[in-house]
Amino acid sequence: MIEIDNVDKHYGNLQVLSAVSMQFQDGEVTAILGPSGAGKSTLIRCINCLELISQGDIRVDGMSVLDKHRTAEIQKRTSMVFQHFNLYPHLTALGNITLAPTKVLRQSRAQAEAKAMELLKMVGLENKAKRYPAELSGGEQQRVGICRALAMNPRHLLLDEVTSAIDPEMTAEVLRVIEDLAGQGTTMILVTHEIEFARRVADRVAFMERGSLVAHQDADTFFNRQSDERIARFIDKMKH
Amino acid sequence: MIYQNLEFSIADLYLLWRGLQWTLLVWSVSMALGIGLGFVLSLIRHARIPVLAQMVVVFVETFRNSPLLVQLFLVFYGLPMVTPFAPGPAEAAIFTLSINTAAFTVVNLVAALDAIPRGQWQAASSFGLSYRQTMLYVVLPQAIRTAIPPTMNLAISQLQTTSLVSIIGVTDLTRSGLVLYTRTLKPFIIWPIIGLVYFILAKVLSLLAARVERRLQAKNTWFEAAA
Repeated sequence: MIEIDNVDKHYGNLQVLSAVSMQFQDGEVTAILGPSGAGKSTLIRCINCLELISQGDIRVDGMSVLDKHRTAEIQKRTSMVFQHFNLYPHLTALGNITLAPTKVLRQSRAQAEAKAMELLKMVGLENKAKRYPAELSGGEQQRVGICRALAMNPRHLLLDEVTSAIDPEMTAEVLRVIEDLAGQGTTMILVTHEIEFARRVADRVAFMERGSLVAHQDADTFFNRQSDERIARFIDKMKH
Repeated sequence: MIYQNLEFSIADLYLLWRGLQWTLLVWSVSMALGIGLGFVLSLIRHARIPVLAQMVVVFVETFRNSPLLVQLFLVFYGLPMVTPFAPGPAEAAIFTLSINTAAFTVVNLVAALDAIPRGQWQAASSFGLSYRQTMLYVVLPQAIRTAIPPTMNLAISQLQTTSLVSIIGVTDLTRSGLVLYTRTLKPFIIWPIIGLVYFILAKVLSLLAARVERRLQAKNTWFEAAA
């Protein structure tokens, strides 16, 4: 379980998160929606200890992000998929996926590679294992990015606008992989602008605006019985 | 009447050969030491280790912004006056060239390290890789590839620069030329030959460098995608 407890985050005078409190239950898929600059990405980066929070607390399975000794363990339990992939350009797809498992989880090379091949097969890229990121399309790179995150056997998968840097015709292949994962009961928090996709996969939806959490509801209520006028307008606008 | 041998002999070839050996020795040892030292200093500078990093900056700025000849004089004539060390010409030459090369290596490698996108650090750190692991497996392999071409250019230009060590008495190629010139008084024969030897050495090195660079490029089409 991930608990966000009254979190503030600011860069100098710029307030990016203000008094955000929410919980993410295990096995749930939560979509975080909201206009650009709402602080959605910042929030999940704070969960992964990539950014420090200014106030409040975040606990991942009971461990506080404020406790420096727990950072490594929290990062082991939460894997991130990045908007711009951030694959290691000097390593093959296989090398990208096996690096952290061999160095951080101390798996043997054979074990890590077997797992990596299994994951690549799942995303339909088993024949691209020896390719370098630059030899792959955006959609393929992001699928490798997802494999890299899953190879760590994370308890929580954090996806940061994973399709917004990909050509539209290739987003489908990435979304299909995420949808499969959602079906398998992986805990996911996904920041996205793909509202139709959120409707399909999310159990719960969090709506953020200007650094604040406006709503945190189950997906059915959020999409079908929305009482907040502003959110309803946002949903309507994003459909087109 | 003072007898002076104004003609060249076979023995003079041997003199040039010895000079060439010294040039190559001073150059190769100081390149190895300088690049090694530069590598370590770059890591200190990049990690922003307090005090040490600032010392590296002062070191680099001092040695890249002053003439090598002045540095040579300072080490060869100055060091014995303020320290118990009195280096011979070859030691002083290698020491000074190493330090000088280290300063320029830091410039090249720190630039390459700084050019690694933040996303690379974030990705590695988000999966729990430590600073040391990220450096070793993610950042350095990329940065070193970026730093190889400028470092090869540095090595080529330092080869020409070694001719300055003749002034403090190292019997390198240039000094051999000086010896032959003072004996034969035939500058237009001696200096073109000396120049040609440097030219050939540099040309061979730059052909080698171009080859390495081509291979790096061919292998690493990924490199543009890194940015």
